[in-house]
Amino acid sequence: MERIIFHVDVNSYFATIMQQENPALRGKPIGILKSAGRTCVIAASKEAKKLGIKTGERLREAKVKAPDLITIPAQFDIYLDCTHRLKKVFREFCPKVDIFSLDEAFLELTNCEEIMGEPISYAQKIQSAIKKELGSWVTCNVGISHNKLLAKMAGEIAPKGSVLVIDQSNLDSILSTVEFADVCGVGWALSKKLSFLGVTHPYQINFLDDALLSAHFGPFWSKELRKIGQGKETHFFMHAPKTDYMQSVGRTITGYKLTDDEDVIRRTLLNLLEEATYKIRHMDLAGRHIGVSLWGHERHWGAHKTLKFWVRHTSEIFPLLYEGMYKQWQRDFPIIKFGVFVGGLEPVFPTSLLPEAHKNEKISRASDAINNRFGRFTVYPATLLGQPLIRPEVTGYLGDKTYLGL
Amino acid sequence: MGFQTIGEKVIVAGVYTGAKFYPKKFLWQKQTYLIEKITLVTDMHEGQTKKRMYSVTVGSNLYRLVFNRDSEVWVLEEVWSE
Repeated sequence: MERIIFHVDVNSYFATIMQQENPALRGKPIGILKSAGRTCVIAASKEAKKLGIKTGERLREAKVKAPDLITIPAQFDIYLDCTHRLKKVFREFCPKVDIFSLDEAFLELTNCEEIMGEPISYAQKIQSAIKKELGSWVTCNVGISHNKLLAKMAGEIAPKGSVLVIDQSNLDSILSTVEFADVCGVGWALSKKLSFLGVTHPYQINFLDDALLSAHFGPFWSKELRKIGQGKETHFFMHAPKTDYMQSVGRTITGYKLTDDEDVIRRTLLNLLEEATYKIRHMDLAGRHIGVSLWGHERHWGAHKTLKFWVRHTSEIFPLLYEGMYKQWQRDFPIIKFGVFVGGLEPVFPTSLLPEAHKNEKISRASDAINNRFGRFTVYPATLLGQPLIRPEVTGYLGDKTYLGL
Repeated sequence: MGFQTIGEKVIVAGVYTGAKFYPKKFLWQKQTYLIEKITLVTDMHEGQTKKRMYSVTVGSNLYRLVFNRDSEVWVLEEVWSE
């Protein structure tokens, strides 16, 4: 039995939702910024993309391409609610839904032929249901194939708002016309390495022998590239989570400008860790692997450590991250991006039998109860007073999918 | 296109139909605004307090009306205008 996979991708999600909300924005080039005053376009409308504006582009450069570009601050609460509603729509059409990111999902419709009927009509029904749920301006692509790699590829290359099927009849022609940039799981660096060999389209992989692939890309990627060349599902899509709980929680943020201010660096790391530990406790987990990452202009530093004990409180993790890792590093570049993570998560409780751990647990339970009732950061460490708080936000790739109930 | 944060209480009138509420008009600063279209409805929460935001248009302006489902208070959060 051949699998049937649908990949549904809402077109230009962040911008389209804003255009749905505000009809005055429809048909106009708009760029979404993370917040007012930011200089990076994190999403662009269909109209802006037609003018050559790309995700991640600097606002200054985008304005050169589209002087009439309208910038709008992102509304993550709205996007997240729309994704919950999308999931509800998908569940009406399919028993097995995998929310892949904030704006896209895989629907496994294998063995559902009797209910589904003709796949293209069924995909069009899904498109109509999404319009009904989120609004008439919201369009999506549906890619259909026998595995996730090809379904996503179909969704990526289909014209906006349409349905595309990849089957044996058009597989070779699509693999020889699609660019590696449209192949999910193949990053910029790998695409560049392939282009040095003159390989720009997946089908060309079939003309390279195993030894050559292995010599250039190593044992893992040589096999993965071979699969891509043949349109087979790659490891990237088959990697199912080992547990039904999250294995790590991380949080990063990019600042407005490079900074050498030690107080800003310390407070930012503390703020990010406070958010991460709240999530860990909320899911009743504890971790043993902790890490910190800092980025400057084209430079990066990071450190991580596996502990012999379980942790889930800011007061126990922060000294290990800050004093134990960051302060041991002789920082030699200013910082713009900050990140912390706690991994190796397990449902371990109590984390320790020591009285100090019980005290931490009691304090956290009390403050978490207040924050759960009245909203995040109603109560927070006094050391964060006197500066704007960094509040939780969702990311497009939905790293917090389990925590968010998606 | 720009927005202004308002954060003022407003009075909203609407109709219930099919177990759903549809705001029809609101009173803000002694002026009544007749809602032409509800363009988006968003459920959100602050702690355990559930809120529902109605994005509505009056003329070429967009208004974000937020209903606090605990206190049953309506607040006009933002106005977007050209």
